[in-house]
Amino acid sequence: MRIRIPRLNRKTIGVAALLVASALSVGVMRSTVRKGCLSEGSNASSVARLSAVPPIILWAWERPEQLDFIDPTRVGVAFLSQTLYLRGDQVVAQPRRQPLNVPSGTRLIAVTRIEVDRSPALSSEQINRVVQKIGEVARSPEVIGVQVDFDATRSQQKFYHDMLVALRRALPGSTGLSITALASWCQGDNWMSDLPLDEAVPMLFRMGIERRQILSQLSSGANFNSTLCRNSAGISTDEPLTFIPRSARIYVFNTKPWSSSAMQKVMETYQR
Amino acid sequence: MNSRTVCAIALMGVLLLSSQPSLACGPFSLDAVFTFTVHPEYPLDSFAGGKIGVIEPSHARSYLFVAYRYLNGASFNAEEQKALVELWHDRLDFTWPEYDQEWPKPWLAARQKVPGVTPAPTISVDRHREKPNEYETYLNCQKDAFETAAATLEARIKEFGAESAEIKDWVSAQDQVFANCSEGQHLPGAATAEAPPLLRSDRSYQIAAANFYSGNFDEAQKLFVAISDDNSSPWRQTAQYLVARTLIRKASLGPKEGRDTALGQAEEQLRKIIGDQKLASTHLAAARLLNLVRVRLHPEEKLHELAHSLLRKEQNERLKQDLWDYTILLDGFIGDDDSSKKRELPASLTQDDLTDWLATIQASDSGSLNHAITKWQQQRSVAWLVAALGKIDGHHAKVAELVSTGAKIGPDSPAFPSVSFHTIRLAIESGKLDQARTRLDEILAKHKSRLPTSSVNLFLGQRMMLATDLGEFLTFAQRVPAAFSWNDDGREIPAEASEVGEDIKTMQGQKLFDLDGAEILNKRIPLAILKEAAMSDVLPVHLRRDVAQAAWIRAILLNDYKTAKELVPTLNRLVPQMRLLLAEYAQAQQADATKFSALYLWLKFPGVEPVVDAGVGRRTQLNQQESFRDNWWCSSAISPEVAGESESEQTQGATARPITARTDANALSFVSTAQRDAAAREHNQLKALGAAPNYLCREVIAWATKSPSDPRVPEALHLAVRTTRYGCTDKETARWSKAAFDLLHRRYPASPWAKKTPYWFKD
Repeated sequence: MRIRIPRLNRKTIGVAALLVASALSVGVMRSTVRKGCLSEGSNASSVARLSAVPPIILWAWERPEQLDFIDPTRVGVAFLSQTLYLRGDQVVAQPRRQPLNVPSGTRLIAVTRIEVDRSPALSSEQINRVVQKIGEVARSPEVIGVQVDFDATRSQQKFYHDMLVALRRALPGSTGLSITALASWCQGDNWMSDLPLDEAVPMLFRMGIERRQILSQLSSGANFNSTLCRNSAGISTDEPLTFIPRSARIYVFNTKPWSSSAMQKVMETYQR
Repeated sequence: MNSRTVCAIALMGVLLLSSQPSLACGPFSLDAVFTFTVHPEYPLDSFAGGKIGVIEPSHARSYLFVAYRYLNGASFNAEEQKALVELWHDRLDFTWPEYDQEWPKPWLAARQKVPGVTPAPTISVDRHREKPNEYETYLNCQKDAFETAAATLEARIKEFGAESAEIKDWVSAQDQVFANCSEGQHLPGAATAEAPPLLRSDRSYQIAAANFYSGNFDEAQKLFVAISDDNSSPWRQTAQYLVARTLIRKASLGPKEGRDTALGQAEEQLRKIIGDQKLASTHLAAARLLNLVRVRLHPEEKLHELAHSLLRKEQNERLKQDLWDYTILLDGFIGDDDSSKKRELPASLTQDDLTDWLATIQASDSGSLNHAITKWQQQRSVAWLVAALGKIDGHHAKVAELVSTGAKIGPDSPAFPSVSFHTIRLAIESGKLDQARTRLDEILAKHKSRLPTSSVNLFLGQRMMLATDLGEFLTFAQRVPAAFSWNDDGREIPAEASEVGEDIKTMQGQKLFDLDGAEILNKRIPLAILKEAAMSDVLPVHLRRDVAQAAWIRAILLNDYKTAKELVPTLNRLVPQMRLLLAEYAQAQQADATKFSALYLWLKFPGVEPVVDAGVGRRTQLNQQESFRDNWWCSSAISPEVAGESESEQTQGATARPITARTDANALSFVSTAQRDAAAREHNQLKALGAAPNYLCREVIAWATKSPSDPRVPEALHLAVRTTRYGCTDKETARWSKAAFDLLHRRYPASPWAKKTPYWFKD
């Protein structure tokens, strides 16, 4: 069976997100909303957890990656460590099966991609299993944090929320917890507001039909409503952006396996 | 027990270069695909069957290989076509992973038949490499290992009894073997001297397998060799094969410096097996492994060999595997199909015509043109003729010779669409427009039904650019999409019926504007011609409606009220919902009152925009707001470019660009220079208006200031504030949102519209 789910669900996500956004990002309510946002991920421990993460993180997806050219003090690596498939009431784990080499001392973030079939149970047992599997990759050598990549639809957000809360409890206190976030989640959908995250990385590429609107806002100097989304940005080498704040940590996706020259170009473009 | 057979294909997938495409974010809109650029259009069976259409160098090499064969007069039988389609779907379709957590179940079920056995252990089939700074997991225990263990246990139970101590011991040893699948080193103890010979043989094999799974490859090899030398062991034939497997594992997972030595030994061992008739039962598996070894150990030699086997005339039963290996190996030499920079092919490999042709047709440097011409001159083959024609420009000295040869290609040849497309392109570049037009009309009249839709659309694109008047332009600007696709990952996979709404289903077979036609309507022709297009009956109603609304609002925005009023009867017919407001608008006398009436209408019809849509476009009713802020104007056709906006993902970086990218939108003969200049001026005027919500707020406030008693003003202010939520905004929008909000509440506090406007919007 071909996996078709992401596309349709992503459309639903966007609609839901914008509906919520329209209710929350109005001028006179803004102060209330922002007051709520200020507590997101702002505790001292989360700052400490990610303080060791370099300003540039290369995403190493499921393909052979030979990253022995990076300077571990300036560049970290977020590698796809596994994909978890939620099928019915099962969780099927597919670990990384492509080689990844990094220099000694590289700060690593282990990424878990979650995919769902058409009618996942989204049960507490699945939460336990997902937490267990992510906990396993968190224990890999040199891994200082985990990142979850899940385009949860509106109906899946409670499951995702509860899973992330359980995951935070299960992870060692020093392990960072990051998620990738649709830009619309960062714009106004506050389902993330009480999540115990260290960061939500807004994905500023392959944004589909929201692209023009979101980039237009960001280029005019506006920032995301969610504070979780303000300290990092997810970008791709084939969609360069000119307005990423220098203070933001960037996660960079490359459409091909990384090379030294591709990495250098990123460092020059974003002055990191 | 270890596996008797191994799937080389699976190993290839794991150990070589198969990588998942990247997943995208979204949300995404449905695209109309007029011409496929990554692969041919669906169903792929048609392409496999020889309907290759105009060859796109941007297609993946597995398709170009098929094109090459057809161009050279070869074909594929039904079995081979099936194999090709299987390969393409394997590569294009994301599939759920094989459910490997289920694999241990036969073994776990079999061991439950032994009374008093320990509780079933948890078995995971994957194991980490366990090397510093390397983060990779490999599939350690294959499905048939568990099946073989279960079958062997069944056989031993029959011989020794389920309740015997020997069987309990056997199960315990096998549990230890499988404990190595995911971690550690768990070795069963040696069999006692009193144990039956069969169980002693089993134990030797279990110990060897445990060493294999735990990564002790040297020890495993030694033990398998010993078993293969033991004439009394039932595992002696399997062990010969497992010696080779152990060596391959060692090459994959052991020290890099020993890789080639281990592969060389594996190759020798596999050749020995294949040469021994007594080992016939393992020959098929050994041949697969040998193929894998040679791919890794002698890639150049293997690529050369595959380039020949893929072209042989007799049926190729290994076509799928050969083509898979060939394209993977070629990726290794010159970069994959997505690579922005192709590497140069080693000279030895260019001696293979297929490899040379593929590398040349996908290259974009001037050297590749010269090479294609040289090869064509040497061979006079159709494949090289197509390669040369596809690269040459209309002013090159060799054009006449190539075109003259191309003219001899008949409509039954698979090369006909490509040769025709490029000879027409060359005629256009040489200024022979009438000749090109005549040829195109002939092709579209006589051969359209034999062409893939993608190719038809390419010819329509050429013909559109040769339009002598607006009617012709509109005739050829409208095209039937080859497919609809979400295309969120660049794979151009057609959407399945279950993935699209009823509105899209009704669009099947309907003509839409492609990007080139929409680009011209939006940027290259002036309002005067757009008005004519809106009134022309060449377009079907749904496209006329789109053109008419664009022309009308463009006229309003450009303050051309005469043109706008001329369009009212057309709009009344095409958009009856607008009639009442259009009547009100038509009655206004003064320019500013006319403008406000038009903007008042526009506020209530957020789907009206000064551009026409390419492809599927906006699907929401004109008088309803669209959830993704595609309201008023938010189109790249006129909005200022966003910083960081890059060229399309499809074409960026690819050296083999789709041929659809090669059109000159300024070459329309029916648009005069003065009209082209007027179009540019109008376009700049529209761009200067800024974000639609800002513009609408500004205009409504201006009218409210001038005519505060106009009863429409409170509602217009309310609607203007809404545009700042549902339209495309910028950093100035908040200011305009607040200004309209403040004016509404200050001047009309008791108005129901003020009550309906509790907020203004910041972003």
